[in-house]
Amino acid sequence: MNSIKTVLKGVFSQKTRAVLTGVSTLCAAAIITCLVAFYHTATDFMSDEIDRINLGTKIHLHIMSGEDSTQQLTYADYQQHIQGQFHPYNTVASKTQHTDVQLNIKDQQNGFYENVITNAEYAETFQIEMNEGRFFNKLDHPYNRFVVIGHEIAESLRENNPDKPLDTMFIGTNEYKILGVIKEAARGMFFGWHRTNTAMFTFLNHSDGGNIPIDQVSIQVSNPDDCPKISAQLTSILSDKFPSVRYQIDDMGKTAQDLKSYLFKIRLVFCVIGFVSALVAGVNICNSMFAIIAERSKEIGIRLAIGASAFQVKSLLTAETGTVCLLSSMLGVAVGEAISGLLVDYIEWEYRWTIESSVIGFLLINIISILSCYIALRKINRMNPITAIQNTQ
Amino acid sequence: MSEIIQLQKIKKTLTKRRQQHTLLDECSLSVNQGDMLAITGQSGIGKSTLLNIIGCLDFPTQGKYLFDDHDVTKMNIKQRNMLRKKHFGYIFQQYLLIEHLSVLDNVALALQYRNPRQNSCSESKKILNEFGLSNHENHKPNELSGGQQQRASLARAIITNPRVLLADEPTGALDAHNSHLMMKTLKEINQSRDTTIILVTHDLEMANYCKRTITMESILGKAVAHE
Repeated sequence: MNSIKTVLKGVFSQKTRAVLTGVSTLCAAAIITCLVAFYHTATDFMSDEIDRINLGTKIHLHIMSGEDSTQQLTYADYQQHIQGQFHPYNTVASKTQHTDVQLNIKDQQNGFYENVITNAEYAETFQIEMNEGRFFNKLDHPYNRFVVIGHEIAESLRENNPDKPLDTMFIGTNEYKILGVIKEAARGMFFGWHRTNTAMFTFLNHSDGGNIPIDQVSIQVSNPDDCPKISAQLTSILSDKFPSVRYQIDDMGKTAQDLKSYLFKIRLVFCVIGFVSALVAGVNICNSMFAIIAERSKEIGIRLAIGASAFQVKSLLTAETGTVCLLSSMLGVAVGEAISGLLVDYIEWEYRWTIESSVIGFLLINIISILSCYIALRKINRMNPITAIQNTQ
Repeated sequence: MSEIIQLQKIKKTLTKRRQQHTLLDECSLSVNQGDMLAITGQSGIGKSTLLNIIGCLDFPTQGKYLFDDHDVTKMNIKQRNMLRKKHFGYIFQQYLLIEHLSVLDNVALALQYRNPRQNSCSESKKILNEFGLSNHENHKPNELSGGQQQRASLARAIITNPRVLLADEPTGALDAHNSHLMMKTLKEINQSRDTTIILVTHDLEMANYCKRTITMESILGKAVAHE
């Protein structure tokens, strides 16, 4: 109890110095916490996406729409030349259209869909809990035909059937169970997502007759190392059999590799900024300690003269600085978390809070302050009491 | 009476800007247990340096220093600190109380450093009462007069019951009345506790309170001490 009192007395006796040390520690802790929180938010998202891609590495062949039949690839062409050519990997052909849902209803496509999906705003509007996830990719889900209806259209469809359960949807005369909602966070991952609010539907079709032109072929390549080989094989088939077809091959394995490389660079940048911040904080605290020793040289000399050992004096000063750093780093961590939360909110990312950022910010700054203290206080070991007293007399 | 301190040809030099300055040259001295010794001499002759060397606040460049037959010059910093903590008490001309601590805390500090487990508060209060400072125990040093500060400084020095009390110009900053009071108190401590007292003063009137007086003079550039 006496020791705590002594330490607090020391802290309050040097108010200006304590405030300056506290503010610099607070800033450093806030910067480091903010960096770690940002690091997680930015890199975890990419890391998850890489994992998702790697889990089922795919090659997508996109066929550009052509004016005549020679520039198109039909389902029959696919069955004859592509399907089964990439053993052991599976292939799927699909056709995607972007149009207005209501137009399709008018076009009497009733009964065409097997499942209905909407977006998160729908669930939020009616305050219902629904499955969240990715439903676009046929390789992830075994649904042959599904429609994604933006919440505005979905809500207008509900108006016609207000008494029906909220997790069902009527298109034409057919009632569908809503499979789930697409998460808001997944928005950026899909081209044309913004259209889902008003209208967008995607149907994937591989069993509706051979003459339907397809615009996408997906090959599920589970081993990323095989991707270049598969790409080359696909290119070769297309140039031999369909020279007039314009196409583009997206190698998701390569995309994952590119993402990985970006991720590494982003992590490196974060680490460098974090290291520099930690270094600046350390130098600042060290400098502050040297100033404290110079300022309190007389007191240190008196303490040594009346019987304190160098260890006792060092412990006291470390405890004083430690108390300031401990309190300000706690505050700094809170400030850092708040700033990162606000910033992430502002740039409309998904904030992923982890205890890690607080722990790293708190521990790192306290370890730095104790190390800086130790480096600065080594001077006391060589201090002659009378010289210390006379220096300030 | 046993010899407690023996200084043999003690030399202290200081090197500044590659030039060597001699502060003390071949000074020899012996002090018995229970002595009350005044060291006098003109300013700059090395009285305080000698006192600091005796009190292990400074170390000699050459010579031999025996304390209780133990060679201090062969001790390392840690051993010298232990010796200082165990056997010496100090009074300085400028009192040197820690400004942000109360008088009570200042006095208790010395006791805490010697024995952290001892109840320093009650002991300190007792000694402050003896020195007539019980009404000022919670005051900060700058709230006291010079005489009161010097008494607080004396209380801090003797609370650990040191064998040797060193006083560097203890009356230098005091008026005549307080100076005589201080010397009387020191004499009383010397007699009642058998504490060896070595004090540095240039005031011969104050030196007269002591049993022995040593005068330091510069002879052929060397500071020589003689009785």
